[in-house]
Amino acid sequence: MVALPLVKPLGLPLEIVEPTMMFYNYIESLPAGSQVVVRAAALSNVENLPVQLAVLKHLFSKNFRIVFYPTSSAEEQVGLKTYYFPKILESPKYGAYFKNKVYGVDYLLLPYMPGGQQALQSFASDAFLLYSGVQDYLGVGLVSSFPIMQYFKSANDWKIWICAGGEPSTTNEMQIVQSRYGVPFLEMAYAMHWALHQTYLATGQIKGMTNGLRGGAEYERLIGEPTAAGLGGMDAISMTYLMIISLLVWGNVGFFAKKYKERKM
Amino acid sequence: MSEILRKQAPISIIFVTTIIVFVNFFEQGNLLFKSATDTLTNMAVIMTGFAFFLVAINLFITYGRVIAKKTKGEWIYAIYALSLFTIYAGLGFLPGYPIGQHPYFLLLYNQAQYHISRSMMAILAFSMVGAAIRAFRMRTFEASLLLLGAVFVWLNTAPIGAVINPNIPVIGQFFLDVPSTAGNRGLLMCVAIGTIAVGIRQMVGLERGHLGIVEG
Repeated sequence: MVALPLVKPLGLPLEIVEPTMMFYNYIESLPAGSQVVVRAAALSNVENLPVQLAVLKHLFSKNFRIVFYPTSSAEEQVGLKTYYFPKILESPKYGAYFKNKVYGVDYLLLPYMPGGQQALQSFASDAFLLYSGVQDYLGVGLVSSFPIMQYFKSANDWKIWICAGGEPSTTNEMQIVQSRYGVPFLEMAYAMHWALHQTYLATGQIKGMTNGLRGGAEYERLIGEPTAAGLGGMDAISMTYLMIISLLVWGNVGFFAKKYKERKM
Repeated sequence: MSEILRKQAPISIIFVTTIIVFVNFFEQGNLLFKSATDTLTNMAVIMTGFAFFLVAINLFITYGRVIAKKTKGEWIYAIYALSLFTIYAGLGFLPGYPIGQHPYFLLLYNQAQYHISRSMMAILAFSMVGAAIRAFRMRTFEASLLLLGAVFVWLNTAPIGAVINPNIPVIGQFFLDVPSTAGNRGLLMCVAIGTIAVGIRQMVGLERGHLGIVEG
C-alpha cells in the first residue's frame, strides 16, 4: 500500500506552502555575485535528498558564489562530490549551468574543521585565520589560494546561509550566523523539525523553510523539474499516514473493546 | 598540588575567557576583543582535533582490553569494530590521492556506510510507528488531544489531507502556529534561562564539576 505510489504515482494535488515560496523567492531576490554558504546534509538523510538537489540546481542556475561548509566530519562533502554534483550534471535543464561553473571561482568545498560551534564561530569571524595553511576538501590547493575566498573573509560578507536541517546543527548555526552576525537564514528542515522550527519562522529568524520530502516535491515544482522521487514520494507519504491513522483507529477500537469486556465481566 | 593551581587558576582562566568572549559578542567593533576571541576559538578548534586522536587511542585501549581478556560476548565485536576502524581510516590515508579522496575510501562510504545508514533510518520508522501506536491510546483526555493534534498535523503535511477535506490543512497549520509554537517558545525560554544560570555559576566558580573538583 505504501510502496505502490513509488511505482505508479497517484498524482495527488500538492499545494506549495508559504514557507517554501519564501525560500524560493529569497533566492530569486539575491543579486548576481551574492555569497552563499551552504551546509548540506549527509547522504544517509534520505528525506532531504530531493530538496537539497532541487535547491542546489536553483543555486547553480544563478551567478552566485557558493561555498560548502561541512559540520560533521566530511560526510556532506562526500555526498556533494559523489552524488549531488553528478546528479546536477545529468539534469537536462540545469546540467549546462553547472558545467560552466569553475571550481574555486564559482564554488568551493571547504574541508571539515573539528570544533563544531567554535569552528563555525571562527569561520564567521575570520575564515583565513581558521583555514590558514589548510587545503580544500578535494585537496586541490590551499583554501586561501582560491579566488572565491576573497569574497568570504567573514560572515559580514555572506548574503545567505542555507542549511540542510538536523539538530543540534541548525540551532547552533542559527545562534552564530543569524543571531550574532544577522545573516539571513534558510532551512531545508526535516519533517520532524518542521513543527519545532515554526518558532523561528514566526519571528523572522528563518527567512524560508522547506518541509522534508514534501518541501522537496514543492521545490522541484518551483524550479520546473519534478522527479519521481519527490512526486511519488509524497503519494507514498500520504499512504503511510493513512496506514498509521488506520492502525491508530484499530488500536483504539481494540483498547476500548477490551475495556468494555473487562467492565462487563 | 597547591590550592591556587588546583582551584583558583582554572576558575580565573574561565572567568577571564568568558568575559572576553562575552564582551566580543556585544561589542563587535572592538578589535582587541575580536582578536582575543578569534585566538581562543581557534585554540578550541585545535583542542577538538586532538580530542579526536584521544578518542581513537581510547578506542584501541578499551577494545584492546576486551580482546585481551576475551570478555564473553564482546571480544568478537571488539575485533570487528577495530578492524573496520583500521580499514576505513587506512583507506583514507592511501597514497596517490589527497586524504579522504582515494576511490576505495569513497567506494566504502558510498556502497556500505551510505546504505547501512539508510537501512537504519528505514528500520527506525517501524519502531516509531510502534511507539506512536502505544502513545496514542486514548487512555486520558490529554492523550486524546495529543492524538487529535497529531492526526491533523500529519494530514497537513501529506497531500491527502486536502483531498479528504480542504479544512484539514487549515486546522493542522493552526496546531503548528499556535499551540506548538507557544509550547516550543516556553520550552526554549526555560532552556535559555537555565543555560544563563549555569553559565554564570561556571563563570564565578560556583559550578566546578567540569574541573574535576567535587566538594561535598
